Amino acid sequence: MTDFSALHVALSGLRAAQLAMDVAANNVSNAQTPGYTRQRVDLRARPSRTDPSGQVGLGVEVTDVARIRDRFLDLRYRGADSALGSVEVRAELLSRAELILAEPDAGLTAELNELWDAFEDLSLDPPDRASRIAVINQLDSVASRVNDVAQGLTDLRASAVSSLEATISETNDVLRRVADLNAAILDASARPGTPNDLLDQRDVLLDRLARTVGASFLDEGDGTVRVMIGGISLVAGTDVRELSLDTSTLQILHPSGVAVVPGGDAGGYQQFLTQELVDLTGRIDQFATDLADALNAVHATGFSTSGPGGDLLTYDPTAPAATLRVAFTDPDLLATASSAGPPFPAFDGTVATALADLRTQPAALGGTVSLEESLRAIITDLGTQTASAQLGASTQRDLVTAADVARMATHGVSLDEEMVTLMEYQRMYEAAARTITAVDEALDVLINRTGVVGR
Amino acid sequence: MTMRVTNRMMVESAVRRMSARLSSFERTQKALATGKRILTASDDVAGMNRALSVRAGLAANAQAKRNAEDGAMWVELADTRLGAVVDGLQRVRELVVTARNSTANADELGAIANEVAELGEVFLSSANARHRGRPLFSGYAADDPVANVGGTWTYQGDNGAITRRVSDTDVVTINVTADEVFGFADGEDLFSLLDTVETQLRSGDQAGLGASLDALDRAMGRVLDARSRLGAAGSRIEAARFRADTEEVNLRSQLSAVEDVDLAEAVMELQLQEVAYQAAQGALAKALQPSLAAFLR
Repeated sequence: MTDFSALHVALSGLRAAQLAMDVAANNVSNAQTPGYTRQRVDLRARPSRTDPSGQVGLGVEVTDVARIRDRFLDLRYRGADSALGSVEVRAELLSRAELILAEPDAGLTAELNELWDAFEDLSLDPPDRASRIAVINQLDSVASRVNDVAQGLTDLRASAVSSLEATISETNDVLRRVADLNAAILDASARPGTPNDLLDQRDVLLDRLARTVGASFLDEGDGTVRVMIGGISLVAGTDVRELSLDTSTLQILHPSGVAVVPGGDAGGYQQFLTQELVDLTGRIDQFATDLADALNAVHATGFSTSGPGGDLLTYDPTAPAATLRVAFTDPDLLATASSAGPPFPAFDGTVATALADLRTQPAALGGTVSLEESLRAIITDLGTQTASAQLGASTQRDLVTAADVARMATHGVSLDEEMVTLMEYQRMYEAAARTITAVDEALDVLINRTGVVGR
Repeated sequence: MTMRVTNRMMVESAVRRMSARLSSFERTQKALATGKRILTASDDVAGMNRALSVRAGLAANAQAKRNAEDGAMWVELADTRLGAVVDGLQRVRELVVTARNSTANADELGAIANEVAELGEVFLSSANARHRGRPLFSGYAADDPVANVGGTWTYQGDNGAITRRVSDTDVVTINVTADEVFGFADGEDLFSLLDTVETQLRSGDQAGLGASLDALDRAMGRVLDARSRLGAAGSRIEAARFRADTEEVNLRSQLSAVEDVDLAEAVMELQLQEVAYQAAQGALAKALQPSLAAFLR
């Protein structure tokens, strides 16, 4: 390659430009592909040859087609997105719980106000059958509203559990695909070049794992990644350890039997199910118990024409809110009078008044607050939790957006940039081709025109 | 260093911003359509707390007003009945005085006695008056308060105090019993007295009539006492009704301030958001159009 190595040198330029244009074309084609990382040809000057007059370059070579990917930006995005998943799931579930309470217009507070009114109307005219029936009906409305809330929360629990199950099963599916890709990448590492597409695919899956369970990742150095939650491995090389959900304890179990503490969506579901929902259900049950006990205690001091007042409301102590019922339907059994007689004081509404007085009397939570106040506290506490989760979600969404924008800024394809690149390499290609022509012409002169003087 | 801007990034963040704009636009629109600022507790927790307590206050206040109206009617009816008794007692007194001062013959005395007996019937019907089937003067009992049982006038009611809660703290007793009004409690009931007066008139017992006159004055005193108690209850109820009316206006304006949308403000906000939304759309349309490809030849 001493004579006219320029031909080969120009050829290397031609090939490099061709390859660079291929890569640019691929970038342009994938400008809108989710998870695609822009690629770039890494060029290097070939080692030069030593000419008696000096070092002469031997052209260009492509060392790799590399992804432009910043691991730190991935880490930041995944951390933010995992936290967002958790808070967004909670905000969504909490606001569904709010809808179940249906305050202020169609909720328990309105029914409760009407119950006190019904008792008070009864106290104005105790023997009036219409007033008595109105009281029984209103008791029934209150009880069924409490039942509805209990049923709504049960349904919400079931729906959250099934979403959690779906999340776990999706996670397992993704874990298997990550392990498959680990295997494929390991395989490809035997060949020259970087398996960019496989890496892109795996990064999309790792994003997903951060979102679903808040998994973290460790580069193993051989091209594979290790997937972990709290230091417990879920994927190691090509091995997968699938997670399972214990539907009774709501723990997420590793095959080793260890319960993992997930982040992301799964963490949100778990926190809602084991803390917020349990707390809310408990408080609704407490309210149902307080309501029934307070009404029954006052009613027991009264007398109807058939004797002392029995229970107004009944419930099963294991699930008070779900089982709250009116104890009787016969309006004559309402014990409104303060004594039994005889003669029976038909127009004595003292006990009906006492029942109506529960409107303001501290009868709930061990006699510390009124029933209305205890109910209001449940509603406002849930509202506070929901509002703070929503605010958290909105803040976290901004963080995710910022992280995503930063990532897209680095990883994404800029069409203008690719246009410029295409143009640059097009020119390079043209110039290399022109160089070949020039060398070719020089050779033509040497071969065909040299030594023909005077011909 | 300027940030590298990629196409996908530009589109995605523009779409994200646009949907954020649209969602606040939607929120304002919903507030305007419902007229309510707070639709769930999480919209404004403190406001919801206030709204619920004001609603409970409104319900209690409305009930207190109903109680007061019912009580006022009751007091008025009882007072009217007792007014008739007072008028009748005055007439009885006049008749007795006439009988004592004149030289009426037996026929005329008989006519007076008949009128007294007639008035006794009026008193009895007043004493046993009912309102919606309920005796006015028998406490808690359902029977007629006054009846002649085996020749003896008896009070058949009890001493139950009928009350109305007319405000959070004010409970007014609105009934008087025939026991007190007609003297059963003091052992000289009006009906036996009238029987005595009638007998005395028919027999011309002037000395007896003199004693009965004193007894009639005491009877009148009891009825007037009862009327003044009813009057006091009535004015307490009236005062409470007035307070409840004022309170209702107060509570309603508080509730409206907490819950309702400030229309002018919301409409203006809607306008601003609409402008902002359109601006975001316009900006995206402009930003997406230019491409270097259009200028390269």
